[in-house]
Amino acid sequence: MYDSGKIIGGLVLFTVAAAFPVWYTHASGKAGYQPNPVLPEGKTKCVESKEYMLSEHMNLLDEWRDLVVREGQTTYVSTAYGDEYEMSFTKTCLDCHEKKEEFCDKCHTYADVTPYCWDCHVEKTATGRMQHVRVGRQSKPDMLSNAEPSRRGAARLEDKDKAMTARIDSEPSAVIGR
Amino acid sequence: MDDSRRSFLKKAGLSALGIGAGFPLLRASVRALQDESEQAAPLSKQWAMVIDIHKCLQPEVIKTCIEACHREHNVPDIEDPRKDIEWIRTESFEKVFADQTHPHTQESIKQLPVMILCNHCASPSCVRVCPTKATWKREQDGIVMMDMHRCIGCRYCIAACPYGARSFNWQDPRPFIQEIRPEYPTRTKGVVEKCTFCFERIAKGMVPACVEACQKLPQGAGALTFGDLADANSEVVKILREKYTIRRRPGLGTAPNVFYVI
Ligand code: HEC
Ligand code: HEC
Ligand code: HEC
Repeated sequence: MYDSGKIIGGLVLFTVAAAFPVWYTHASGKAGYQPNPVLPEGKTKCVESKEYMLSEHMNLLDEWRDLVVREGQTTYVSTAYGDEYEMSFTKTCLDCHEKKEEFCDKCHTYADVTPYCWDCHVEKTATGRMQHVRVGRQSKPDMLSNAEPSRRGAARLEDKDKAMTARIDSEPSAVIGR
Repeated sequence: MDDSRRSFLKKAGLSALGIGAGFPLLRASVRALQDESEQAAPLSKQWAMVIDIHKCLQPEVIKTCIEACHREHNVPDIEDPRKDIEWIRTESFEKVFADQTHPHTQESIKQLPVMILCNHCASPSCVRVCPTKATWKREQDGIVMMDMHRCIGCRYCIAACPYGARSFNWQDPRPFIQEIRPEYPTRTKGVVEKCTFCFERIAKGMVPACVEACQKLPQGAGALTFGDLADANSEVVKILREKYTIRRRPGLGTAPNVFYVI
């Protein structure tokens, strides 16, 4: 065989290079990396068993959402423990799991999922309330006096079509299927 | 013989055709009738509100109701009226009851402020047009609900609602909320929202926030009354029996469940 040394050497080099992702993660200790979400202190159990929560928490949340919004129910009875919980994202889940960054985010970043729930559902802060800088108007307009009733939203009633057109014109980027 | 056989076959063919075409037509018309009777069938529960126009004239009462609602539900306060979000607001009598005024109506009456909110209609036009069932009429209590998770922001419902009860989020509302109440979610850009008769408070046996707030005022007692229209002993039914009340734009056939004592 000609150049067997070179071929075998090349093959070895190739194998090592191709396996780079495997041995590198092992060598750098990243293979054992786990997101390690911080569990709430002083609490011993979740709404359901740990295994169930790990694999099904997103489905549980969907179920809660539909039961509350569409069926008009409020209480959930845990199948694992029999405890009663108010079905609420902020008032229940985030009451125990206070720190989103230390808990939900840890796993979600790791798994590369970005639930959009927090676009609307509010995280609790230490004070329990979120403060915001006010950008809107400083005082209510004189919509409340008898002499000069509301002009607010008048356009909406006065001439619906006109108002719609005005709204659409004011923000063309947000128009769907025009 | 041949002749009669031929005519027999013709008649048989024609009758088969008649039966074939007639049945679907018959079925369709029966179904249409059923649909209508279904719509008219009263729900076992229908939340309703009675607004006493006279008691709701005072700026203090109006302000308290609106603020209580908007604080409760994190409704933003946006200066541009075209982008503002409102669940409950006032409008002049002339506009709210356009079909009850005429060119000679007293100017002072035309200008009276009237509280308006979602009417939670018995046949809501918004529900008919919603492509995702994000807005629908809850069978258990008659609330015309909004499921913010399903709303795709097509705004058909805004166009369909004859009462201007719905608002669209043209922008992220959070910067315009003075103090966010974490207990109730905010909304995002691109969804439609409106009054939900405080479904979350009713579920806990409370009355809507606006009703509770104005009842606490000495001059606001009886300004807004909330109750079950299907319950003959409820406060709203009592008022409807005793006083003259009107609804907005009755000619449209949406059958509002918000009544006005005038
Ligand atoms: C009563 C407090 C409490 C509430 C309410 C609660 N949790 Fe938990 N949760 C815990 C505790 C304690 C654990 C750890 C369970 C264990 O070790 O058995 C946990 C575990 C979890 C886990 C698994 C995490 C892991 O690494 O083990 C997830 C996911 C989770 N919760 C999500 C939720 C969601 C979603 C909700 C709302 C539906 C919620 N939790 C409500 C206390 C709570
Ligand atoms: C133990 C790790 C872990 C924790 C802790 C955790 N999640 Fe998750 N979550 C996941 C994983 C993994 C997925 C993706 C599952 C999938 O895609 O099938 C997920 C998905 C979700 C989804 C569905 C997202 C989507 O796009 O479909 C929601 C909603 C969700 N999580 C909410 C929460 C909330 C709220 C918390 C905190 C209270 C939380 N999770 C804590 C691991 C976790
Ligand atoms: C567009 C804003 C918005 C987004 C995004 C959103 N929600 Fe909601 N959510 C609401 C509103 C508003 C309510 C109150 C009922 C209603 O009108 O739909 C609610 C109610 C709920 C409820 C029941 C009541 C409560 O207090 O929690 C649950 C559970 C819930 N949402 C879960 C979720 C989950 C899980 C996600 C993410 C996958 C999510 N929501 C994303 C706006 C939102």
